[in-house]
Amino acid sequence: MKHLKKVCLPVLLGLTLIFLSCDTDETQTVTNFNNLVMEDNFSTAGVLDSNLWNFDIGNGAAQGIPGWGNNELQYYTDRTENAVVEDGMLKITARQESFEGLGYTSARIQTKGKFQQKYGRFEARIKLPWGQGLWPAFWMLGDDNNGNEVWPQIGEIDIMENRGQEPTLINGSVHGPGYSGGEAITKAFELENDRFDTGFHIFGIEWGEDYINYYVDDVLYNQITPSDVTGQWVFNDEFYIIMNVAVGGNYVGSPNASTVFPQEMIVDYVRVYSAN
Amino acid sequence: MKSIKFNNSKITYVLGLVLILSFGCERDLSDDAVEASFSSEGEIFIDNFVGMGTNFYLPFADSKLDAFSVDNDEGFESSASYRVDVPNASDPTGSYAGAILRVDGAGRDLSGYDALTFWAKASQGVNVDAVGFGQDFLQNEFQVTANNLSIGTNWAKYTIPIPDASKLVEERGVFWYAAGTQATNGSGYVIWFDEIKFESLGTIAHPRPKIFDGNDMTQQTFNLATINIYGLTQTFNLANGINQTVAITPGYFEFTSSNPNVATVNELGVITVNSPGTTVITATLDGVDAQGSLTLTSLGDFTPADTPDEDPANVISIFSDAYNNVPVDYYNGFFNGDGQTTQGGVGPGGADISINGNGIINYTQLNFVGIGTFLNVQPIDATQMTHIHVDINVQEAIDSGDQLTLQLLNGVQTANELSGSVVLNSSELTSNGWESFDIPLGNFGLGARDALGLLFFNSTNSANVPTISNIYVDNIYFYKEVIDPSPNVDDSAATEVSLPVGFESTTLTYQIGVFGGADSAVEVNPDQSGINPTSTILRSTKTVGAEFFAGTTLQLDAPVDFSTSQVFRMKVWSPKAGIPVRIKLENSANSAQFIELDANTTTTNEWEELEWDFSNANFNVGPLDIVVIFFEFVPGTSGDGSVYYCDDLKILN
Repeated sequence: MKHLKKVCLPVLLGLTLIFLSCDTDETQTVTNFNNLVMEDNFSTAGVLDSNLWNFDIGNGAAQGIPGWGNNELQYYTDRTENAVVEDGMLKITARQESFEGLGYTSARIQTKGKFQQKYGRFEARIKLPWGQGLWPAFWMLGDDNNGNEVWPQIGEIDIMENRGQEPTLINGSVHGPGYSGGEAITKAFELENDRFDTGFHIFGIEWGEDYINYYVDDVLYNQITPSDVTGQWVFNDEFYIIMNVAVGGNYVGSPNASTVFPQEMIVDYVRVYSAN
Repeated sequence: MKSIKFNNSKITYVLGLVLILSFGCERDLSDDAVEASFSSEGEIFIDNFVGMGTNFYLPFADSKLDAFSVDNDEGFESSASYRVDVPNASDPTGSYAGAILRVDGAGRDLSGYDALTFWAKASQGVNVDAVGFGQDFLQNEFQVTANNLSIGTNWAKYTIPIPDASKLVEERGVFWYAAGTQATNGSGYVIWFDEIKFESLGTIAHPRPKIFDGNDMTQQTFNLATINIYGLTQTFNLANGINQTVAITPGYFEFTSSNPNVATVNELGVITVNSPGTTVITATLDGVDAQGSLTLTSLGDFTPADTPDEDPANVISIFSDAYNNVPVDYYNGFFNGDGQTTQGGVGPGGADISINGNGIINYTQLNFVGIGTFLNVQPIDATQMTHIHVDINVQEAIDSGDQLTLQLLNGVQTANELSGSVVLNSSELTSNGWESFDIPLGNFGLGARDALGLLFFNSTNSANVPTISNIYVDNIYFYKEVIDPSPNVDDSAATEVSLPVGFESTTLTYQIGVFGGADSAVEVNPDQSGINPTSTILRSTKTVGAEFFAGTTLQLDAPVDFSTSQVFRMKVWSPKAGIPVRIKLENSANSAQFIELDANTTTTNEWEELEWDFSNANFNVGPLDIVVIFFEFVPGTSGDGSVYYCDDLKILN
């Protein structure tokens, strides 16, 4: 039998980490990224803060990538049915409904042009949706230099993405030139005796020059450096944050009769820290 | 260590303890060692049984009792497993493997776990009929069953979630299974189970309990009805993304009636209707609302069908609370492939409605429906029976063209399958009222009824359109009508040949005719015993090769007088029981005008009295002055030389 050990994270690369399940009286070392520069605690009920968030609308056709490049099945809207702030939480809701010719609706929000930053600690506390064909994600794309760069050259950092049929697993990845899509540099993290859709978990990265550290709650589970990628390291400029719930697509497969709708991704907060 | 001499029994004890601990996942030795009981033990079978006591293997009585063994060659990452050799369907010692494992001793506290898990593989990929826990052959209060569990040929781990572990504070039934060969065409196979234990996985999520299979049902009923809540399931999403549904018992639910004055629900999921009105039955499981409900409306007091009063010794009952019913395959064969739409006949013992202990079938969406007695049960031998009884209450308005056909099939799915039917027309049925039917089996025109396998209720008309869609049915049984014999007829002083006729006159001429190969004469009674000691009788012989319709005629000098009674009686003596005897009363001036009915003999080589009740006959005919008697009137059955006698023809006053 395979016994996974729960790892209590000791001092790791200067991170400040929140210890949820392992009591410790040890004082953590001072981090490089403890200067809170952005946070959204979703404490004002109603619509999202438009000073921070943009909605991506549609099926991606307007962006030239119908199905958002992955044959996804949903139509993204800015309706409160698909994204709303209530009870101190952001709720992105995927629904099964006919809308603009597609069978599902959901929401995808991003901070492009409103909050972008190079390096730092990016984290969010999220409870995931569940079920075959659900694809929630908390991720980032690099600035496109006013349209002069295109994916994957701009770079993509997936802090968390999940297949709804794998409720105990999330993946953290980077995409760049020569290592994008199915060739992305990725690593999975599995919860022991728990799952991501029954409670909140913190998903984050510590991103500095030539490294990205991935953690879930108090567990650092991966570090990616230029030596790990099979192409150019493109993570040395500003990135913006994206949160969405996709339905179907190449990564996750389609929902089936067992998939329960509607499904919510509930976000308690998003926080970004910069170096001192 | 080697120098110390141990007491052997102590060694065994210590080793056993360590074995348990090694699978106990990081529990501290001292903690476990002081636990004197197995009360919260989760393990059932690891490399051997854990804390199960001595007599824990309890196979189902009709299963292959010795289908289980401990396999000391196979195991999941070990060399021992719980092996089940599922027998071939034809195995005379049992056609399936099934057993419960019940702790021999005090129950276990399983409230700290969230699933039963095990590793398993099979000698061929198979959907195992049932695997679960909570069956203890006592109350089975908290039974859980994963049906049709797909088990492959490589070891894999299976998870059966606990619907609500807080209920399992003292559970003895820790594992059960039933595995047959319906999915393998009768061929046996082997299943190995290993590492059977309760675990706290932490990944059992998103409970979705259901009652009534998740449907919102509506039903009209009556006071004193009892209704069982069915379709109880719990579904969890497992760590592997699978939605695992388990069938569970009512004990896991909290049931609610929105109006307890109308109906209440007990902890066994049985609804009792108390007074007129409407209530909604819902449930929760561990605080989660169950999908599905029943909106129940009581219309008030129920009028049951009359209680049958036939002597049980003369009855073969299919569906009645007045008698012990014979085994039945089903009360609804759901011949959906043949276009059947009929629902119902699916409650306990076929009863969809139970009122004050009286079960009633409620067929809805009726076009046709069959009650089967030919698959796994003995077909019904109704040779000795004379009638079929059924009570029918039509639950809708009756239109003039409505009809209900009762059809009987003998020798179902054999080379000698026979079918016969009787049509009940709209005038014989009552809307929202019971009608009792006592139909002579002879009226079905069946050549044999020694192996009745199907009884159909069919409401379609000649255009194959259903006419009646909703009926209550009760008291379906065959019976032998016992007729109190009427006095013998002494017509020795009669001045003309008219009913009653006893063939005793020496002066009158009895005008006897034959046709179809029959031979007939007035003769001396060869068996002056029993109910017919008189001297003279009428013989009718069906000669070898005679037509099936061969018979004897008796010309009367005066037409039959039906003015006060329409019941015709005759004493008969037959070498065969269960054959139809047809009486046809004909107008000598117009042979197209007649009435006829069958009655069946019930005994051999002795006199008995039979009855032909023409109450429902069409008397829109001229004077009926010829009696035609057909023995063994069975199309296709030609004469075999049998000699029959009859006597004492009369209209019963």
